[in-house]
Amino acid sequence: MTPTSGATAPLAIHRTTRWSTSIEVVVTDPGAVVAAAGLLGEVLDDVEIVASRFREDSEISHLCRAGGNGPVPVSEHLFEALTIALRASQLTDGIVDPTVGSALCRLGYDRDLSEVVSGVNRTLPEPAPVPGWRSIVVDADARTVDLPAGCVLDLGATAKAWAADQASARIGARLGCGVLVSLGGDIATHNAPAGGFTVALADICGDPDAPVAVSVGDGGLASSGVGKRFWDMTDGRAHHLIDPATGLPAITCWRTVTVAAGTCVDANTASTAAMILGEAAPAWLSTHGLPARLVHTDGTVTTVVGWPEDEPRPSHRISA
Amino acid sequence: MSTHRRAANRHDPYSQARLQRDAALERGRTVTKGMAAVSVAGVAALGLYLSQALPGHSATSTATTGSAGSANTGSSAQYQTPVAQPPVAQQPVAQQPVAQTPAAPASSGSSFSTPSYTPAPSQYQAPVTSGAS
Repeated sequence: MTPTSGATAPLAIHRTTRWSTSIEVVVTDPGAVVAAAGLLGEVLDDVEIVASRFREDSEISHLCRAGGNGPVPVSEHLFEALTIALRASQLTDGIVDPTVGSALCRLGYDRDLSEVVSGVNRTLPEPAPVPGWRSIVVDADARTVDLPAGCVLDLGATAKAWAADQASARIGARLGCGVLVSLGGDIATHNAPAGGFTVALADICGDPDAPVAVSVGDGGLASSGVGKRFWDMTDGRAHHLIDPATGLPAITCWRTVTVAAGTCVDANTASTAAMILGEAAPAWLSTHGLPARLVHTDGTVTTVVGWPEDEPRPSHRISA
Repeated sequence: MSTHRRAANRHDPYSQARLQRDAALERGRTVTKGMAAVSVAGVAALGLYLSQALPGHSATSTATTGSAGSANTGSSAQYQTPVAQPPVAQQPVAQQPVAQTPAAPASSGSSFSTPSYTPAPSQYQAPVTSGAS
């Protein structure tokens, strides 16, 4: 069966894998799919070379190594990535914090996930708060960034979503078609067709047995959860959602949180914050007017701000 | 005869009054025109100054109304609220979905952007899945 939009228009899909996750670009003009994939690749290249903490040659790695040595001039692209990350911290009162990189490294997540999932031969460290986003000094006029010594930045909560927003906007503007970009389930849409794009929801991105699906219009949708990026340590299990107050994996009551917002960055910022907030998340999401679906560790589903109740689907299988 | 009539008119009190009235009216018109021109120029200059002095202010106020009050369109809602910590740069347009509604501002603001749509149940086949990744 050919996947369609809500209005049954034919869709073309390009799939690939990068950053240890599945990547898809969906367009409403089948003739544009190759060009769309090329534009998406350009955006991902640009984001990776500035924002990947796993690449020694990335600009953010250079910046972190210069921590404690005063203000460092940075490129416009990195400055923008940091500005977005700091805005996320501001919007969440520091629940989402880009300085969790050093905490992740203490947990062994200092390389690509594929090299970590097999396990880390060390114990969970003692609690220690992260340096904190307010320790980052940025000068917009001089376009410099001053980090404290030893601070490792991780833009995982915003950079992937930012790339999705950039790619969908660029593809939509250049090719003039409807487009959905999914980077590991962080989704940005542009020029959505009537009826929207259909997105399945699951605990794990790419699960072919996703139990529910929703239609989404222009904007962003993102899910955060602990079902994929986790690894075993000698005395327990760790995951990538760090509580800045302890520098340890957040103790959360949620398995997965999915949020809809005006942009993918905002959706992913909110879904990450909701995971860390735990029981307070539904009220917090409601305060910010963000529709969301939260799946508890016991399997019960909570929806807020107009997110529809789950409706069983006749077929759970997504297209190959 | 005509010389006599002109001499008589010069001494006609009604004619003298008309001449004085016309001269006064002309002076009044001149003064009024000058004041109007100065007022329009002043309001325009004030509008231009305000538009340049206050970041985020739009210089589209209707200065031609001639009212100094009308140039003061700057209610607090018309100014960009500065963000003290951290400095938030404007995102390039290319990074912001074009089809945003006023209810769904781009992600450069000081609050979350809410979606321009409400998720609805769908029975169509889904090309993608969102979940933990």
